[in-house]
Amino acid sequence: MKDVLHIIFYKLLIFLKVNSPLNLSNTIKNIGSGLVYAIFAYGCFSLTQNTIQYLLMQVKIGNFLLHRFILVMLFIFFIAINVGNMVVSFSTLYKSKEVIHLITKPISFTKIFLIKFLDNFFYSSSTLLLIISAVLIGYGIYFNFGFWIYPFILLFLILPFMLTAGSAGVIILLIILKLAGSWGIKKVLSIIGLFYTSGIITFYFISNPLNLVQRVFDYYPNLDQYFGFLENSIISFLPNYWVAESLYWLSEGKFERAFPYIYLNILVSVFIFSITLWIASKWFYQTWLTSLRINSELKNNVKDKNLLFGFDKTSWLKGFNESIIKREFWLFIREPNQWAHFLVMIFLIIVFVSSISGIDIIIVKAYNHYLKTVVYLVVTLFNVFLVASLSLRFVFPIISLEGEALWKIRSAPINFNLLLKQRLFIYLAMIFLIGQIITFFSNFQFPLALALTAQINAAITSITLVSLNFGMGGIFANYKEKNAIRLASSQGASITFLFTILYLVVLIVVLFIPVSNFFYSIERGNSQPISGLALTSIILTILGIIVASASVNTGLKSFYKDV
Amino acid sequence: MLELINVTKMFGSFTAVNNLNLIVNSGDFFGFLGQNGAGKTTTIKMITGLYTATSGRILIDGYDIVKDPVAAKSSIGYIPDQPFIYEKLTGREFLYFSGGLYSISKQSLKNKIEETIEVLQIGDWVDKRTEEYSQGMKQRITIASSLLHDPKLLVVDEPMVGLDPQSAVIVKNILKQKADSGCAVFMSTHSLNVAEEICTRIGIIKDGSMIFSDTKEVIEKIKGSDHENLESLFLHLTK
Repeated sequence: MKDVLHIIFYKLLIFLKVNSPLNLSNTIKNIGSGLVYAIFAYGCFSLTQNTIQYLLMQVKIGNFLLHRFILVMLFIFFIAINVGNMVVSFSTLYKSKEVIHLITKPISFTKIFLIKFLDNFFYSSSTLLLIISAVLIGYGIYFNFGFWIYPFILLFLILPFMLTAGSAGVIILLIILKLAGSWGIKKVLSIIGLFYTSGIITFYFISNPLNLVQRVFDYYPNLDQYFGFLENSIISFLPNYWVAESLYWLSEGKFERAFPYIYLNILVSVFIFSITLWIASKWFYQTWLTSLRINSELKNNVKDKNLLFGFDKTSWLKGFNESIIKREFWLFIREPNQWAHFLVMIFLIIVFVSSISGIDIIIVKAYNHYLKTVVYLVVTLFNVFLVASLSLRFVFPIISLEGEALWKIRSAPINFNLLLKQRLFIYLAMIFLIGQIITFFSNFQFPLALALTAQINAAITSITLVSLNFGMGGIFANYKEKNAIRLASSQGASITFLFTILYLVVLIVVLFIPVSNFFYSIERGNSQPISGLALTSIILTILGIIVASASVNTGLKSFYKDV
Repeated sequence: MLELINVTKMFGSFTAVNNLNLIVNSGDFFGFLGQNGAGKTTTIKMITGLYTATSGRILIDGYDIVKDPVAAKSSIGYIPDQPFIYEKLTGREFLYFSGGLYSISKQSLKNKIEETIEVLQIGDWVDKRTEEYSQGMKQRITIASSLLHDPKLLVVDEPMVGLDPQSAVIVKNILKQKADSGCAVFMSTHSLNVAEEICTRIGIIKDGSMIFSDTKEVIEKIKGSDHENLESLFLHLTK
């Protein structure tokens, strides 16, 4: 263990060292970053507190449904950590130069695995922990929690929950690579992917949150009671259920009812983490060798000649445009980190869109205009969140991904502004289109005026968020980092994400009253006011123009720095 | 072809290049020597537009690299010391990509690539992805990519690093041929014997300032009187 601590000590030292010279510009940048974190934390805290108050006091959904909403959020959270750890761990455990370096030293493979696992887990979870802490405080203050409860929940509920999700992700990764050694990577990925997808779909079928809402609302207005008997008992075997149940009972002030779930959560977390270490002690080195072999086989099987969109083929694109677009295309297609993550995100979007298809039940049967407003805003939030995630993952790294081969571009006789705008346009077009599709499928069951507003706002939001990520990616450009996933989870990306959340808050604030009035008018049988809805689009357009022009200019300027 | 006028580069309070003045004409093969950290790579990065000079001007074929970068860079072929290239592209694809940046027509580019592959003898592995290349292979692809548009000025930073003896000979010959055909070559190197062998002019930079610059003939005279070779002269000047 001494050698593990020795390595962790030096890793901490590297982390704590200021990685940029102490000058005015960097000091302002750091103070600015700290300020953004602080404002964001306060925003999360305030938003959580107000949302809970609104849901419980105005919409009157009851404490049970509130915690079932938390249960679904926790499920999404679990999947995000799980998939995230799977993808990022592949890079950090199997493709990292640090692992190659450590393997040549007299350190056991299990210890190397442990160091990289913890490194990976805490590196990619730091922003999430910040968000959770702020949300937790907002949540706890509403329910009048004692001071000791906050660290308690964080340490004994959230961290074990995240550890379970992360460990499970790495176990799946180890299994994939172990089986890939004999079955072939493509076959194994297809099988595991199929199982994983089936698992997620099964969860939705079993938990069926929309159906649960409907059944609970049959008891309206007596919603402030425990409706656990309406649920499928199978979900009680899932970690997100334990956390949601614990929170429910803690909020009810019944610690003794929460305790078994807290205990179970910790126990399972420790068990799964131990299993991960045990499997790693058996398989890590073996799978590391397998990954090398697979990599080498894949390289040998590569046939890059005579491709349809090949560099040697004549196309309608002219001059350097052709070079840049073809480079962009092939680097994306040939980098598994890029297309695999893109497919995973598209898959999550499809799951979201298909699960939202049952939303009409809620819209039709919603008991008051407050609930209808909440449903509309939640759908909008999810849509924008998906666009934001795609922007963060694929647009933020654009400038950094010019990489160490940047010398070729910078020393070439081309217009950099045009080059970067072209690259930006490629991703903007892609994200814009996806944004429009998911907005259409998740909003078409709302009244036409609302669906149209959603479509227009999604367009404005796509342009705003893509531009924001581009600009921030320029400010925090790191040409030495080749891994797009690590770029998208760096400090700069975290700050960008915080800005995005602030934008989401603005979006909700702007939309809330017009949408609420719209549903209220429907409820009263009056004509529906659309001027308020139009105003939201105008406000968002003005904000979008300011953010987009400032961000794009910043991104372009950053490219002219000394490299 | 290349003119540096009072060029200074500062990083904070540190002066990396100090008031550098230099002219390299067409057909000149200028060897740029200096110890580690003397300012060679900084100078090269300013010439190629990777750094902006703190003060002074750099003209390439009469065009200012800062005011008219596109016109200036059209004449440059740059070979960096670290040959970073896109790992997921094949060598040939990288050559097509590079040629495209200089707006060479597809057919001319195709012919030029074939010709360069022949000259640099890289045909055996040019269709493999560059992630499989050794340092020397990457260096040769980088050199090939810098020659496609027939540059008027070749800026070369440590060209022999990582090359095997056979490749080193090929590269030396190519650079010499380019200079003989009227291209100006500006080469930074630590290999004094290479500089002595192929350069027509030599400059030595120390702590950001040019401390010596003259033709090969003058160097021969100095060597003949006080020093037995360029190495001895270099060590004396940079002491």
